[in-house]
Amino acid sequence: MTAPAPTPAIDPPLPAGRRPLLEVVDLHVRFDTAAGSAQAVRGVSFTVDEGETIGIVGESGCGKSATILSLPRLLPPSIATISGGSVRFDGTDLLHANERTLHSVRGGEIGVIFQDPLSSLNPVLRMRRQLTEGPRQHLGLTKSKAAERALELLTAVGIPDPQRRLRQYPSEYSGGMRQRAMIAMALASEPRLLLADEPTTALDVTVQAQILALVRRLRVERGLSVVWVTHDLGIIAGLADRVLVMYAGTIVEQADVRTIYHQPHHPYTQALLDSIPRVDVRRRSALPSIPGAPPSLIDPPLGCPFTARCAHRMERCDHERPALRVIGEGHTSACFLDITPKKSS
Amino acid sequence: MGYSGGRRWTRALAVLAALSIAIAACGSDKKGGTTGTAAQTTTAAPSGSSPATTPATTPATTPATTGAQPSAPTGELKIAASMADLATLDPPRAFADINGLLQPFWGEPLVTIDPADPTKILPALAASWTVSGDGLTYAFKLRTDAKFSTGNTMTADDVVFSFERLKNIQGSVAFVLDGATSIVATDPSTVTITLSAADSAFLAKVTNSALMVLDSTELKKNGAVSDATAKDADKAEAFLNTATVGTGPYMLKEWKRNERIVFDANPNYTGANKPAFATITVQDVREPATQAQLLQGGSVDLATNIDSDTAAGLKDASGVKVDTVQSVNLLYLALNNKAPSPFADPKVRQAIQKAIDYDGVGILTGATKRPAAVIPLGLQGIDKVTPVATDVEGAKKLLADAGLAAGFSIDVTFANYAPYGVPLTTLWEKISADLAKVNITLNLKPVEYDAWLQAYRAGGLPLTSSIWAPDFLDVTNYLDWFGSPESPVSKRVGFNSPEAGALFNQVKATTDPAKREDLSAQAATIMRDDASLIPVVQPNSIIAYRTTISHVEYSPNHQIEITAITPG
Amino acid sequence: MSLLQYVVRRFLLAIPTIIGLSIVTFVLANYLPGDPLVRLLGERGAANPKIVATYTKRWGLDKSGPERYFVYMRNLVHGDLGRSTTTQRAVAKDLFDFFPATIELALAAIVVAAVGGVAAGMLAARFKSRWPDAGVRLLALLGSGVPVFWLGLLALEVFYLRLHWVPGPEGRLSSSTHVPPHTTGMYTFDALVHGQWATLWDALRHLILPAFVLGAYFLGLIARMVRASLLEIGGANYLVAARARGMSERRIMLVHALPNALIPVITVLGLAVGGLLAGAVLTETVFAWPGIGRYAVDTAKGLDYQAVLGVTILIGVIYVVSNVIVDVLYATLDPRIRIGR
Repeated sequence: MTAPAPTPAIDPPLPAGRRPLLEVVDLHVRFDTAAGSAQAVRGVSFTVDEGETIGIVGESGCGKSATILSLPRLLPPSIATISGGSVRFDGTDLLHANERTLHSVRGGEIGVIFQDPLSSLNPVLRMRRQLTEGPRQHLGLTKSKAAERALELLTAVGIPDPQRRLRQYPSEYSGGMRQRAMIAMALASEPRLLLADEPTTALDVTVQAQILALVRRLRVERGLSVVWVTHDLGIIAGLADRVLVMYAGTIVEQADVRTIYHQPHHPYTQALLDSIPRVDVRRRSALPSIPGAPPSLIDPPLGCPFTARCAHRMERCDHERPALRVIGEGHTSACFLDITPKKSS
Repeated sequence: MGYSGGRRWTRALAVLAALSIAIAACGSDKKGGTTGTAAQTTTAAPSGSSPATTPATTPATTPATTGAQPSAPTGELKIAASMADLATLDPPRAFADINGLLQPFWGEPLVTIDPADPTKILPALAASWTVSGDGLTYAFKLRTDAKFSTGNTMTADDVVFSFERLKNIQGSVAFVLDGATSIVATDPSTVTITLSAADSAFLAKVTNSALMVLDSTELKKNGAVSDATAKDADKAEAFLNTATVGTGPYMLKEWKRNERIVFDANPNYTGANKPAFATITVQDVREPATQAQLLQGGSVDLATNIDSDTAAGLKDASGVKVDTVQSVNLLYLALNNKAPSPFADPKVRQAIQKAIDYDGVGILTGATKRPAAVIPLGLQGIDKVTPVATDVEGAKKLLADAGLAAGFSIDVTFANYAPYGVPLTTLWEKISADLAKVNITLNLKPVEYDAWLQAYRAGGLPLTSSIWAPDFLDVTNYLDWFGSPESPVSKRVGFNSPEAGALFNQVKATTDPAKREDLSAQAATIMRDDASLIPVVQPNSIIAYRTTISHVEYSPNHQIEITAITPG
Repeated sequence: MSLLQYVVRRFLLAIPTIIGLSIVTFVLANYLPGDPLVRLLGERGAANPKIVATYTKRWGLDKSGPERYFVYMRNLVHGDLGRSTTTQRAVAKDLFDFFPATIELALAAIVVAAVGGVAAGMLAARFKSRWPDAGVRLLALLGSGVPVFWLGLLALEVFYLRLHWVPGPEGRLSSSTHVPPHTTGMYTFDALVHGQWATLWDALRHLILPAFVLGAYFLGLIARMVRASLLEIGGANYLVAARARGMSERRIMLVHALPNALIPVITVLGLAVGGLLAGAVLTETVFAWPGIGRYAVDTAKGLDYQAVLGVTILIGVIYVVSNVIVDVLYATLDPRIRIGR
């Protein structure tokens, strides 16, 4: 891909020596449902540098999945509309790209791992077919070369007896194996950016740890950029360089991983951190430990969306929406609080 | 699932949609008409009808001139006929109406009937014949020029072989020769048949197309046997299904069962009825509506199974002619006086005979004339007997005389089908309405044909309806079947008239036509007045054909005389 | 269990069913009211004791019912299907002669229903709620709502009498066309094999309309099913995943969505065999198509029990075979179904 000169990022300032691979500015996504029009993503901006791993955390329904799936325009157009903003990948405007460009970017430049590996694999096609179609299209491999590559990929993601596994159908794989296969599939055409949409939610803890280790290794080996979406801050800790915390379709805090964990500013981030279990137990439900529920996105509140659940709520929070502001180096937060509040624990 | 779902609204919508398509199609009629001819070349071209080539053919009436070489017949006559019953082409084994239609193509009997007057016998393969004074011996003098399609000349031996074979195979048509005790060739051109008892209808029986003369030389080569062992030993059926070795104007070219049967003109034909077409193709088409479409579309020249409903749709079709002719079939009511029922009293039967509104029935069925008794109009004597007229008051009076002025109710079990295009349910509803006027209530019980036939044959139905098509065209067929006390139907319904039986025997023994007519009329009068069997309809026969052919005529014994048809 | 073992086992399991079928048919054909002799001989012949005796003996009607059934089954094991009183020849010969016409018609109808139905369903799903969708739905309604008999006459009225696109209902070939040499008895196939292009064309022209009429019901059904199931799986995650791998919409439709959408259709095809054979009776009547449907009607009318049994057993076998084929197809399309387990 012929990449024009990298667009200088304005906010937050980039560390020297890195250039943005992906640049998202003021992204808006609207979901048209029977109940009404929901503002799922409301002005999200961020950048991803080459080799960087971004974690996006937030409760279910905060717009994190909608954000990343809208980047390669994978949301179903019948329901979801990207109503504003821009997405530039290596200089290409993805929101206005033609079908052809989109087809070569998808898979070829941006790989996606989905939340539910079983439903994301076609039940009636052999794994070989699903693993080879990408490389054949993007890398121009022959059928046999693509099959060789699929074999290598399955080996790389740690699937034993890959020769046999290639001949099988998704239903013959175990849950963990399916997710590994999904990763192999996402990486098959050597993309530069990996978008992972809660890929470990459905897996048990052991498998989850194995998958994380795998991604970490591949990131180093291949110099991948990764955007990892999860509701689990615990996962992000060992994986991400930088963390975006999303709430009600907006980014409420953004900082490097160390800062988020040690000096969280936004009360929502703090609440999330508090909800990380002391003992690592298998968990599927979305953070029951934060009391209250996120606001409706069909009719979002005027002020701070978190105000109803906030322990530090102030009067202005009800009618004034706090903008993201720089509160430290590479650290932004959308909260009126001046100082970092003490942890409630 | 599927074909008979109960979603009525779906059906209704679909029908509307279909109609709209049909209407749209009507719009493009003209365009389709012009482009269609090119696309139709393989099928349409009603070949036999191309006017340019017709003069070559000799009309049926032209006497044959032996020696003179007539030009070869051309073109193709295409016919749509239901051939469900066409099981075999071997005449002794055949039994079905369709055989009557097809057999004259390739075979000729010794004598034939005059289509205009079924009581008249005309020469065919026999140039002349004599009957002995006692009516027991028939000597047929054969034509000497008759040739089979094989090229062999027909002789008396062929006649003897064919007749003996038919008699001994014991097929259903064998009854025709039941009374023949000897069939011998007295010389190469004379066959003498001796009967066990006088039978004045013998010649009428011999007109049966199954009594065609076949080439015995060819038959013997192909496993035919004519002696008493024939019913098991004869193996010629398979051969006869592939080759017709008769003397008729056409000969079998191909028989594709269930599909079509094709005949070519017989180059060795020497008779008067010269083939008018090079080829006759009969397509096996069962459905009257389909036959009508083929006729309209010009894919066939003649449709033989058009019913009255379908005929109505053809009235305005261009290039199509529909002839309605009185047939020799009958539809009659059977009033059983054996079973415990009011019908034991003849006055009650006569009351019913008077109560029926025959004019109304005629409007319903399209057939306006009816005979007085179960003998079709046109046969000996019956035309002279006046049918009982509708007379409701007279019927009431008869019922009152029988002590049934208050009426009664009775079950009518009948076959639920439409013989000769007359739906019996409709007919019975009409009769039911008529009889209600004289306080008789009919409980109509339509049943399946087979169930009805079994019950009727067992004689257990108090009141029903049935049909009759002649086995041979002579009044004795009817007296034998309906008139004499020994006849099957008389026994079924309890009609027991010794006088009628005596008259039957006299007719059988009398060869004088005037005397036969007179005796028959007497028998018919007895049958009419007994009123056990009341003919209500002598149905019409419908023939639909394209105007590209002519001489399409009803035949009382062959349905349609196809060999007489000519192009133009 | 291997596929072969499975197929063999399925056929063995079908044997009792077919024997049961034969008993029921035999009883129905023999003990319903009606006298085959009258049907054979007419009232006149049936009134003559000599003729009746000859026929009774010839057709084995002098034996008792169970005895006749036993004899029939014994002969059946030896491949002898008996003789038809209707056609007066071997039932096996009749079936051999008439069945290819029906098979040809039914196969053509299945092809029409499957190809047409899938294409129409895809079109309707692709243009959901727009005019192609409405059009397809209307046609599907027409195909599945109108009785075959009526549809046949209507189709002939339009395409034969008015538009002259197809030949009339004169059977399988024009009278001027010669029957191709017998290889399968299916004229299109035989003409193709022997390179008789004119015959092939004529046979196809005669085949197309009855095939459409016979297949119309299933065409409509399949179109509606394909449409519904394509719309249902339209938002499936694996389609999004394929899109995420950069696959074109065309490929996603054909390679990823369609095989999934076809799984329920396969089940319908299994049912279609029964439906098509039932519909064939009427279609064959309307189009003068010389097939087994008409033979079944003719022989049933004639109380011709050996022929009726022959047809019944043949259809039973066809049913079993087609169900096995459908099962194998089903397992091929849907790997989640494992044959024999």
